[in-house]
Amino acid sequence: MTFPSGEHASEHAGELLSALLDDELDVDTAQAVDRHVGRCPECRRELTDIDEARRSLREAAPVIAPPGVITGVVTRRRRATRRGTTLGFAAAAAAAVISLVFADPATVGSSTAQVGAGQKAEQEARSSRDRPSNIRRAELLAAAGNAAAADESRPSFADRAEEAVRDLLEFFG
Amino acid sequence: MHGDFIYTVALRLTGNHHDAQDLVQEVLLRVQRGLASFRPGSLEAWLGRITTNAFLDDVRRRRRRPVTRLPDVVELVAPGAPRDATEALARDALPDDVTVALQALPEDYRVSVVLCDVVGLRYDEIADELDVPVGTVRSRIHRGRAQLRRKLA
Repeated sequence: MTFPSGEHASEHAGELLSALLDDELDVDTAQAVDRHVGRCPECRRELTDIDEARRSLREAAPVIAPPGVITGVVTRRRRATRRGTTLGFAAAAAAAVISLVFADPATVGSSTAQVGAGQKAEQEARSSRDRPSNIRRAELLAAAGNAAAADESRPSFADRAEEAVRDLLEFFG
Repeated sequence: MHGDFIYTVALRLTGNHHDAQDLVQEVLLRVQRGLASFRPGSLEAWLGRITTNAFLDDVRRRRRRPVTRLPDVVELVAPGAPRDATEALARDALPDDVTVALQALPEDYRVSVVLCDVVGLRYDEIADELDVPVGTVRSRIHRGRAQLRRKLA
């Protein structure tokens, strides 16, 4: 893009001002817009306005989520998992990860307990009549997205699941 | 803390705590389903995309089946004690000036501005996300900021 285009030497910079602030212009155009702003009070004023709007968003502090907004989902999920109904270990693992990623810093320390809860859920699932289905395992392996979790030679499903949780945690580290 | 990041993006997009909370729930479900699709990179960009997509899906759904919802202001001044602390907190927390000003923007402008200035995506990434040309993104962001400035002034 060239600015200003030859026959419209008097045109204003317009949306190129935002692009300038966002570092989205090539060097030549950026220099041309800069030069124009230097001699055009109207564009200078607009650049200041745009910059203020931009900074009001970028510099605004993040809004703190009200308590329960994030953890509510995790809690409901774990309860469902404990009932051994529709959610398998994959969900428990994912819930553990989600709670680690999103929960209050104060609760992050309980990661071991969460993994432990996951193991318990997996034991319950195993002791129930329907063993973890291939679909559940596929979910887990897909969630882990990691070759280590697909290693069939490992002795126990729980071990692999724990490993998958660690992989997910690294993903989100 | 990523929960606050998602909540902030949700609040900027929806403009009120009630809808922001609903959006966060949907995002967390999508995050759980999408864990496998996450590739090392910017976690916030990934979360921001998921939040925006969930928001746009909801907007499209509402357009197909319009529902009338009383504005949150009515809820905020409604008499009666809140049922629990969470609700009380959400009621007490009026959306900030930036959130209120964003709501006055046309949705196309608001989404582009939020993706740029809250989520931190580049123009080409926003264009990909919204399936529009980069020039359109640039124009929406600029017009959105200009209107935002007038609202905040």
